[in-house]
This record gives sequence, structure tokens and C-alpha cells, in this order.
Amino acid sequence: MNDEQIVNLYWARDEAAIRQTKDQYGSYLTVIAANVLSNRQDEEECVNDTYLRAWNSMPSDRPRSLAAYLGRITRNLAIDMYRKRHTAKREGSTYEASLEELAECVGTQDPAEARLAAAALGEAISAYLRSLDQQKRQIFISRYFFLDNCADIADKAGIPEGSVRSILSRTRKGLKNYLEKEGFVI
Amino acid sequence: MKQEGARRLLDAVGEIDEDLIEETARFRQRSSARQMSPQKPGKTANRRRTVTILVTLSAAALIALTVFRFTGEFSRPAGVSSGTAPAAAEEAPAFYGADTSGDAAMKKSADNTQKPAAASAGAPESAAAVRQYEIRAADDQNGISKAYLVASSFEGTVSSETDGSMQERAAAEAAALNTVTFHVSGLLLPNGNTGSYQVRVMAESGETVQAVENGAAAEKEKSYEFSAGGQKYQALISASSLSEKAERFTVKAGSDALKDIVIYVQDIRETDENGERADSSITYQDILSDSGFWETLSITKAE
Repeated sequence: MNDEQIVNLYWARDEAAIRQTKDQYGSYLTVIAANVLSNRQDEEECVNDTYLRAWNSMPSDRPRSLAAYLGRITRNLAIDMYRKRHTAKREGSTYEASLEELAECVGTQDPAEARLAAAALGEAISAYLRSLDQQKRQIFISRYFFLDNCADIADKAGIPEGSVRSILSRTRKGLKNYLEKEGFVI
Repeated sequence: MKQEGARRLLDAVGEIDEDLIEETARFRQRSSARQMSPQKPGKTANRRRTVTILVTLSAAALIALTVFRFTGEFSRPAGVSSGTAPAAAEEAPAFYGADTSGDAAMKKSADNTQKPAAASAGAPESAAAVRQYEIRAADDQNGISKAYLVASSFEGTVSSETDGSMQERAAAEAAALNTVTFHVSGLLLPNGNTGSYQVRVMAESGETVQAVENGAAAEKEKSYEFSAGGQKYQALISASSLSEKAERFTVKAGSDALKDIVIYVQDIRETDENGERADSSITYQDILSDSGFWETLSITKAE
């Protein structure tokens, strides 16, 4: 069943939509949740919340790509859950590592002066990513959207892990410069 | 302040355009599929192979059998949570926090006479220690490397017994083993499969130590009986799906005694991208030589 057919099930309020989503995207979503969370129950809860969120949002949403649509929901739910539940526990998640690495892109200005809407910033990041070659873009998104670890990314990209780290480092610096050039202060 | 900024940046990355997400999602999927493809003979030495763990009672289908057997004394205080794998916590994504639900006491087992036979791997740990285990590959036989668990921190034995079902046994001894819940949460697969499988143990009375967590797991659940300390137990193993990352075995000790226990995790198959059996030659060397791959096996010994 393709994405359009699954979305049609949602729009028809057919609960088979959930089953199809689970069958086709359950593992994919679990990986995303697990990249952030360190607890199997939380992962399952997060993925189940994704199904619920999808059920509640379709209609009115009609996503073109369920992978992107659902992946975004899971990713953001997982991060929210992580922040709620792991304020004191900061071990064992790529989330923290990702956060530390991204700190390189952040200036020292008062955040109150530089508060930007995530959507606007996301747009700028998207524009920057489009300026990169495909591999660098995919590595960056794998790391900071899907929160994959570097070893996995290297495995999938077929390059050494050190190369992945180098690419990420350069991309972060490039992003920082780009955002500053565009007038963003984070 | 930087941390806050990084947080906002991470949030903003979550808002990037859908087509960019989809592009990378496809990249991740393609990469997984490529890695899962059967590989040509002669090039297997240093390759990672896609493996799928399925659990079956069929001896004919049995390719690799992992057995760990130990005796010792465990007790689990209230609130001890499984799912800890400190050794791999930093490197491996924390994929599999184990489930603490469904614990129930097992019936006390009376027999403590079963002793391992040969020399062993390590000294007994003190109470409350986290026992780290690892899987080591046995010699390759007919293209199949058996893997078995070695209780590296136990004093006892590691012996090998092969029967018609190609059973490998790794046994370890400790003093007296209390109720143990095995929760196998997550199976490390190198090539992008995801999911987990679980081991649950039932007492002879039928009391389930670890509850079935979801329908999918239950549907694919397999079970078999084993003897433990003179009592028969049933291990329920579900292979609901496959996982991309670390395998974590967490043993939670309960309040009642169980003298020894044998858990079989069996039938490790290589599959193609459609989930079908790709070929019969599985090489675990690549997997097992990957440090951090199997070392997430941990046993949490409670107070």
C-alpha cells in the first residue's frame, strides 16, 4: 500500500490506517524514537503517540511523504519526551551528543535578543542544506534530524566514521556562517 | 546559553523541509537494503552480514544457538530497572531500554546441585554489580559461526555441548540464583533492520514473569521449556521485529530462588531485503569482531 492509499484510509477514518502505518513505518519510527530515547517503553509510547497524532491530524493534513511526515512527528515527540524525562540523566543518547556538537554553531549573544521562530530557522537551515552536495546534506540530516550515530551514518554512506565526523564538523561551521550571514542570531 | 541555542537549533532542524527529510529517509532505507543484499562468495571475511534472528523450535532450521546458563544468587530490589548497558551507553545508540513491567516472582527452585563442568571465565562479582557479558564466536563450521554467550564475570565453567540441534552451551556458576527475568530487548543487526525480541520466562505454574508487551510480539512468539533447578520453566521468545542496534540482555533478579536457568536464543538467519532467507552461510565474525556490537549484554545484579 502506498502513502496515498494509507493517507486515504486516514481520511476515511478507517482504523486500518494505523495498522498499515505500523506495518510499513513501525520499525522506521522506532529507530527514530530509539535514537533519542533510552527506554524501550518510552520508545513504544512515542511511536504509539505518533500514530495517535497522525490519526488526529489526518484529516486535515494530507502529507505527500508519510516517511517525512511521520518521522518528523516521532522525532519531535521523542525529543519532547526526552527533555521531560531525562533532565537529570544525560547518558546514552545521541541527543545529548548532537546538542553539544550543535552548540558550536551558536553564538554567545543573549538568546532573548536572538529568539527566532523554529519554523523560520528551519527554513534557513533548509536553504543552507540545499546548497550542500547530496551526501553532506544526507549526513547532516541523518545526524541532526534522525539523530543517527556517526558509526551508523558511516556504515550507510560507505565512508569511514572519521570522514562523517569531519563532514559534520565542516557542515556545522558552514551552517553557523550561513546563519550569521543571513542575519540569524541564535 | 550555548546549550539553549543548540536546543533551538536542534528544534529548528526538526522543521526543515519535508522533501529534505524524505530524501535522507530514502538514503537510509536504500543503504539498509543494499547492505542486506546477499554478497558474493569470497568476500565475506570483512563484511557485515545482515542477520535476522528468528526463534524456532525446529532443529533443522536451527543455525546458531546461543545458550547461557548460570547458577548464582540474584535478588532484585524494588525499582531496579532493566535496560542498563553502561559499557555501550556512549557509543551505541540507546535503542533498547528494557521493560520493567510484568515482573512477577518465580517459584522457588529447590535444586542447587547442577554445577558447571569446566574452567570458566572470570571471578564472581560482588552483590549489586552489573555483570557484563559478551558473545564470542565459536569456530566456524560449515560456514556457520555459532555464537554463544560467555558469562565473563562468573566463576564457573564455559562448556560446549553440541547435540543434533547444534546446541552450544555456555555455562557459568555462581552461588545460588534467585528468580531471574530475562528480557532480551533489541538485537544488534548491522544493516538497518530494526526491532527487538524478548525472552520471557514462565514458572511451571504458568505464572508469567514477563508479560507480553504487544500484540505483534505475541503473534510471533515462540516458546519452549527448559529445566531450571529441578523445575521446568518455559521461555517465551518473540521476534516481533529486528533491530538495528545493540542487543541488550538484562537479567532482573526477583525475590524467589531459581537455581539455574538455561535460555536458548536460536536460529540466526541471514535474510535478503524482502525478509527471505538469502543463503545459508552466516558469518558472524564481522559482527562479533565489532566491539561494542554485542557487549551491551548486561546483567543487572541487584542487592
